[in-house]
Amino acid sequence: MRENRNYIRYITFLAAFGALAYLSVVFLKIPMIAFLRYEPKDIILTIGGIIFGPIFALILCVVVPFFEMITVSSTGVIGFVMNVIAAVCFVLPPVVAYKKWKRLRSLVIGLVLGIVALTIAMLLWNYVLTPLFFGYPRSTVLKMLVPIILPFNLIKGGLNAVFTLILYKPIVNALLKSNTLNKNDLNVIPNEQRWTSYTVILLIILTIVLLVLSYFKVV
Amino acid sequence: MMNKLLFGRFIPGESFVHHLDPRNKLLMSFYYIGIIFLANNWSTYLCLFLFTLLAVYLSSIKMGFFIRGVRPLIWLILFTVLLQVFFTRGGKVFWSWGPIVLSQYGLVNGVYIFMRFVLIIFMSTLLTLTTPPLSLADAIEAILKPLRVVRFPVYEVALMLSIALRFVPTLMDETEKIMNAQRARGVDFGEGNLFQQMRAVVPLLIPLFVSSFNRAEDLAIAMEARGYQGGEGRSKYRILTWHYRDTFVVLAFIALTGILIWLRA
Repeated sequence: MRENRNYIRYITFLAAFGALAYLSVVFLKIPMIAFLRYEPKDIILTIGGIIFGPIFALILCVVVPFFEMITVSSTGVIGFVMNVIAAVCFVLPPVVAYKKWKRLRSLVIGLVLGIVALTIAMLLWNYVLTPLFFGYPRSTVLKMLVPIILPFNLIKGGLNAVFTLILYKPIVNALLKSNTLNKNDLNVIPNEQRWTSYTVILLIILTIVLLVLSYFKVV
Repeated sequence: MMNKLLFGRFIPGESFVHHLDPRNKLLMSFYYIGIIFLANNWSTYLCLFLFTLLAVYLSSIKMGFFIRGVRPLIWLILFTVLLQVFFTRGGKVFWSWGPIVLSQYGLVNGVYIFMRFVLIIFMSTLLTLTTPPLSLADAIEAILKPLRVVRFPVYEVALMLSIALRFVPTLMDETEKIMNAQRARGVDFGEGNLFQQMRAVVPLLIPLFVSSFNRAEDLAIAMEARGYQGGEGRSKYRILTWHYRDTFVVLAFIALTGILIWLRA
């Protein structure tokens, strides 16, 4: 194995972040509008991504919803899929922006982009998947999107963005002070940038394909 | 201690469903959500309902736990059902007021959607009630194994999943300790509005982060000291075995699919 030490630490830190994010979901689920609930896990995933890079965040975006699915959630695979997509859309832009420019300003812009991406993705995916699973006619879903799903995702994303901004600096400082991490310490993933862009492209293609299919009423 | 290890909703037991292979249970619960969309008339729904009831009975877990699984989603379900009932047109019209119409198709569709929700929730709840999270992580490892062909790091992912699952109870203890320490300093948890609650979380989160980092670091050093060299060729503590009853369950699901295709409108 290349760089065995860092490689093991990458795994254990992934596990620690996964457990933290999972705990935050279990303890801090705050009901907001009707059935939609605010979850703070994106904050922890974003901070993890800021420290360890986009692939770290991407892995967590899949792992944490998986834990939710096998322990606390009762929506099964459907909830899992929506959860993964929401997390990836919100977490990736700030993490990539911060990785590239390492500035507070880029992080803020990234977070705003993240909120926008989250909202757009959730609008599209709800439009495609909600009729499939819940059997509403599409026209009803269309009426529901703007008054319910749009503001909910904006509020959720906004709250998460604000708390990420408040929290990331003290946490990163605490990490550096406790000597567990030196800068540029854990570069275990080769071709990180390429894999990140592959994920983004895959997500966009998937969305477009599903939209086209639903437009032609195949699904 | 043992009690905290069983976090999530797992209920220990010795029933037929408990003894099934976790790989089988995971795949079959996915498969079930797939075939539930085959149902489109009352006989197919009845068939699925009986099948699910049988599965629940075989798990020998009280019905109450399953109904508790439905409860957090009850608003979603009610909302969906009402939308269905009032906005679907067709058939006999019983009552109407402006754009809201209570029609025969609407009522029937509402009942179907309600059934679909409850069945999906029952099946996912059955999976989480009868399978400990660690076994499910093992099952994921086994299911992902073919991906090794494309050099997907299956062993590492599985190791990470089980470490994370083991971290959860430890971090829960840690959280409790830190919460008490901060309470002694005068922080109010769980009071006030959303923003106040989140602000109270900050003095909890930072020590929690630091302590979990230290734990991760310690564990990495311990693993290194014991010569961890990746998962290739490692022996296992929990070994999954496929029994006859698993084959039987797969056959039952195939039969169910056949019946559904035969009965559907």
